[in-house]
Amino acid sequence: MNILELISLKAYYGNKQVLHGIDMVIRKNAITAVIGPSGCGKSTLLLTLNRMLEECGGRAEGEIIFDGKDFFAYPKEEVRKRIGIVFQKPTPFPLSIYRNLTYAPIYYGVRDKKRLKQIVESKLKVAGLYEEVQSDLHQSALQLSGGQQQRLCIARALTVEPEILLLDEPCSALDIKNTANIEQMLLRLARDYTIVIVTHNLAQAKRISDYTAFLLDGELVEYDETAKIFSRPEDQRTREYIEGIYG
Amino acid sequence: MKKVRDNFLFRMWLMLSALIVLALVGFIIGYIVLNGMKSISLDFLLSHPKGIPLGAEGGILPAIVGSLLLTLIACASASVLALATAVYVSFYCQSRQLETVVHVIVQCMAGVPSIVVGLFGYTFLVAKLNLGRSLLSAGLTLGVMIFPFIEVRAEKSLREFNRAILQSSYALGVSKVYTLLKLVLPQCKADIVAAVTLAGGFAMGAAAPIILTGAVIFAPIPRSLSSPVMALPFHLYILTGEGISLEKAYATALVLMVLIFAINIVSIALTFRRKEVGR
Repeated sequence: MNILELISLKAYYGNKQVLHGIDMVIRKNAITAVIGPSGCGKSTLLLTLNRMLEECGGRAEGEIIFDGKDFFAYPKEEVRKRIGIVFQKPTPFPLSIYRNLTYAPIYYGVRDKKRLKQIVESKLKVAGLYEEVQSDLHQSALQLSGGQQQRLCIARALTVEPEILLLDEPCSALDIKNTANIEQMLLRLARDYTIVIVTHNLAQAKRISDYTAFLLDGELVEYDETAKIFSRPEDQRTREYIEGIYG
Repeated sequence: MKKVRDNFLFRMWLMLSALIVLALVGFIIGYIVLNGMKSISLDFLLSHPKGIPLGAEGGILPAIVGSLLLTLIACASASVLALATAVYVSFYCQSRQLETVVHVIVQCMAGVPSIVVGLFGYTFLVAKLNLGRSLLSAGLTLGVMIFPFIEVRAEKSLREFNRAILQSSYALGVSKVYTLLKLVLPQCKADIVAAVTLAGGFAMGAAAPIILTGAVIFAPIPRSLSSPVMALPFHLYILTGEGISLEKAYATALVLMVLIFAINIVSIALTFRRKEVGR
């Protein structure tokens, strides 16, 4: 089942066009990886998908169907609530771990202390962070290691119960162990959420994703099942990228 | 050889400058403390001015209370406006031109001589709005004077807030207001409070803006916002200007200095605490 359908989606920063008409569908409860060389528009694509592009000074054109309706007709806050994003660099709020995770639920009206505690614990467990931090949930989130901070950010994105989770190279600043932690978590999450992950790491895309999209200079070159993209790509450029000829 | 000589001259220049400044400050403080201590007593701090001419005897209690009240009003009125301006410019203003205009206005305000601010207070607050020469008029005039100082520091602090963290907050679908109240302001609070207290010290020491707007030679402790007030810098000005009592003037100066020092120390402590927390 398709949860998002992009129809000739274009994105601009000022006069500079970054995405040149992307057509693709994002399938529900699957992991979709977006690969491509730096500057090909992968991050812009994610920013467009949760309406953060305009906060960053860009604008989008074209059509997106989200859950059967026009994506741009939703209030942007609702889109952002239903489509969460985690950025490349971990961005924990300068608050305690606990308050990082209750920040958004309180905004959305959860006041009950027990319910909040339950949200914090369950999301930390999902993110595989609970064991490590349960002894002191009130320590500053800034004291966590990079990998822990990134998992905290993923847990925080999940506190508002999004349907889709967008991840922009979440492991690029992490070591192998932390990367493995996050990959395991994403595989678990894919049962309940739809995941779109931008990655530079081809092996990672191959390991965890069901579908892979290859972007080059703002164009979608090829989009198919991951196994097919990595074994028999149809486009010459995809083959070259995967074989490491450029990028 | 030339390098060594230049280095030596440069060092001498720095050392001498530092020495001169330290000596001057030390001299001023020492001189006022030595001369002021003679007349300082509990009675001086806690009684009203007496004698003929008024102020030759007695104390300065109404001036101390008056100065504290004026500072409070100035800080309260200026910080509300300054914070609003800073938040608007750094979070809401979309137009570069408007931002520049606001900055130019704030800078111009900072450059207006304090006596001119006083004249503005007199014509606008005292005469036009008919507030009279009062605690309120004088406090608001001081507020106008310190507004740009608070605005500049508050805006700097808000702008230093990590943009990536802001984006992460918006990305949760959370509103700007909630982000500001729950994330940004608590982080910048110490900085902003430090800026307000520092500006408060500046307001407390200023005589020019209040001469025309509310400070008087003698008044009891004000009972309402519309009463005229005594203030330490103005009292000091009268004591010396009219040659009433040099001894009392030194003591008054000492009290004023100690109060401003206290305010500055609070402000430094707040800034320092923020750095500790941020670590």
